[in-house]
Amino acid sequence: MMKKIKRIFFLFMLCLAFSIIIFSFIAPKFAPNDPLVTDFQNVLREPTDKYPFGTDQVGRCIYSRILYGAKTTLSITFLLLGLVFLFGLIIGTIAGMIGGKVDTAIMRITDIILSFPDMVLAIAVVGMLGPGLVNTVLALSLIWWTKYARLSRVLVMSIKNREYIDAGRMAGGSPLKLITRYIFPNIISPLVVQLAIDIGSMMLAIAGLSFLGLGVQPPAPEWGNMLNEGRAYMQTAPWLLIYPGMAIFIVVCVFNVLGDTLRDVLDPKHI
Amino acid sequence: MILELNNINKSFINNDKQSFAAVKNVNMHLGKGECIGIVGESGCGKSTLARIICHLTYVDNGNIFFKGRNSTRLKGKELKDYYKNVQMVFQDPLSTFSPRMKIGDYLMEPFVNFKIMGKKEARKYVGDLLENVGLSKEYLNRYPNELSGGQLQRVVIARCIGINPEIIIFDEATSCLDVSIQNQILKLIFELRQKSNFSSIFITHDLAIAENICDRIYVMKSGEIVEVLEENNIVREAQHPYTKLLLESSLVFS
Repeated sequence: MMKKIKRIFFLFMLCLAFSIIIFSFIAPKFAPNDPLVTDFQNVLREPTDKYPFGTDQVGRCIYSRILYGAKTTLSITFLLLGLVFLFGLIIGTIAGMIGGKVDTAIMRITDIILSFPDMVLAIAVVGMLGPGLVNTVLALSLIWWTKYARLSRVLVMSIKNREYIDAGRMAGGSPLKLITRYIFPNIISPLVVQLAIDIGSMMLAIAGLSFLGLGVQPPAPEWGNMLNEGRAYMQTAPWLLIYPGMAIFIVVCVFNVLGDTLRDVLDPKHI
Repeated sequence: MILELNNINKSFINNDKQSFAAVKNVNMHLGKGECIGIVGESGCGKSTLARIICHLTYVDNGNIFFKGRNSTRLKGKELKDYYKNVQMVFQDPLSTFSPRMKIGDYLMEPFVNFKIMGKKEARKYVGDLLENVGLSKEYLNRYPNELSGGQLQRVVIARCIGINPEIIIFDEATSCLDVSIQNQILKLIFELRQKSNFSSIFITHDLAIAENICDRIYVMKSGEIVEVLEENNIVREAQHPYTKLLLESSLVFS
């Protein structure tokens, strides 16, 4: 019974997550105004019919900016996660399979990277390379791949001596085939769970860097960026912060819950 | 002579960094169509020996001769050719299967990897193989956890036989199964042996089973072969005190 409820809840969250993703791509069509056009007669206007979420300090429609920003935020998040996942998986698998000195070397590198506070390191990297989208992606992936590398290394090590790997070897499987046909299918579910849980934190990291003025550059709409620009008007025009903040909150929540329920569904031990 | 082991030695390093010999100076030979048994208590090195023969563990020193050729260290294509001729049935049937691979895919693996046949042909062939060991073709689309231990062991045996190897090693192939299934599997192995005349190495801790089916029995203790029994009546023939001990312990229970 519990299992069934969890499954239904998971499917519901999955639908919700997918609709957010799809919506973010078609969202610009629903935007009533151009997110970049300023309207100096309507600066810091409260929500009205023309501007459903009000306007910001230069008279841009907040509603439209949130809709456009969804695409920016989500696509960078998925691009980044895809990048770190693939890179981490490959490096982690190499470390786990080969072991010995290669493994030690790779693990010490990840130790070094992990010993920095991640946000500070990202700020330092972006600061050195100069603010911008590409540099943000670079800085965050520099840190995040270690997480997936460590996880996949441990998972590979835990199953590489199983008998079915030996059986696969005796069936004439080449090392590459052993990895793709025997190892990956058996380690992929914890990795996917980790991925789903990380969507939320990754979005926050990107929003955080944009908030600091290092990520997406104005005037391009991005949620973290919008928070940054609206900061000064917190008392006089709170809608500048409330709506983008709500957008981040809701989307991060959905993906976090999705990750948690995904773990329950994929791992029978948790039910 | 199809397989010859010459002075095989293997030691492992344990957690205290001390070297510990798992297999010491083992000499063994296996003729065409013969069935030999390796008997000993748990931890005596019999499974390590099986893994050495299968090239899953490398020897420290000593030589393995397969059909007269030195096959101690094989790589790449040579190893693949070796596996076409040497197959093993593992102890625990469930752990021999990748949990996320269907029975059909498991069975098809060697035929596709060894390029014996194409995928379509292999699919048909493995269906027939399953029927040979008394399972229906429906099992091809099942996952391993949906089958019982005895059924899985049949699938493993079906794949080994299908490759048509010279040697099949049964490493405690029946010890994870209950008694009635044990008998069925032993019978199956016996029938198949008469049909395709492969040589086999039967590893077990049960002298009674070994006595029934093996032409020659090697008794192992702490990595060494302490006695070789060639006659049928091992009770009379057994000389070494350890063999007698093993016999007594199995007699108590039967």
